[in-house]
Amino acid sequence: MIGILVITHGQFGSDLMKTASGIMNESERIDSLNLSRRLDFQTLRDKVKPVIRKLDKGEGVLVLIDAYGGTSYNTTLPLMKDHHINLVTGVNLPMVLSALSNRSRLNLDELAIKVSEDAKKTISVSSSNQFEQSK
Amino acid sequence: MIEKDYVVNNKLGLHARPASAFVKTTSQFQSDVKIRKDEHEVDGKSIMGLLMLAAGPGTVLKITVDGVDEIHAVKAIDDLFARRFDDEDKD
Repeated sequence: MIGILVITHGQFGSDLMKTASGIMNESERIDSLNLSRRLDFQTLRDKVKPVIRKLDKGEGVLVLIDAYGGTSYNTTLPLMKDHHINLVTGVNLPMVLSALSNRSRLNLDELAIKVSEDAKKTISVSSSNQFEQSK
Repeated sequence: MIEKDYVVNNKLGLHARPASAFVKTTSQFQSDVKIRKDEHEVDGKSIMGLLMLAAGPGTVLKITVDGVDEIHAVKAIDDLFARRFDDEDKD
């Protein structure tokens, strides 16, 4: 089973993972990290590496990150050299739900594409103007 | 193939937790499960598909079950709707 790791600024990654794992009733090979921008990259990477090692049982780890180009991203990207991980940015609740529900039937590359597509699909805009017109 | 209409009958509709309960139920069976709301049809074993239906309370869903264990699958779906997805008094 592919491991799932959520890395974010602040605490919301932990809340996101807690909510998604509660909904899906999944607790195996999941974790979250909140990275402080006050620490240097080496210290941050030293926090991330053991968690990836713990989650990877051979099928790799999908790392879901909040912001492309942010601290979480810049910390984790170089770890791809030595670890079997895929990164997907823009994490939201549907993305984590998709990761948990599809990780048993897809490989790591397929899962990364699937969760990014699912997360995009659930972003929608509803305008009160449209609502008024349909009344 | 069995096709039935169901009304979403819990207070908050088919939100994440009921959708998860639905997928856990249907995934126990080999039969294919499709859910249709108006023109929109999704896989009844995909939580993302269910969430994309945005089915609130009172929504009518047409559920089609097709496969060797379709009778048992429909019975399980009947039970799930009867129990309102075990969703009341949670969250």
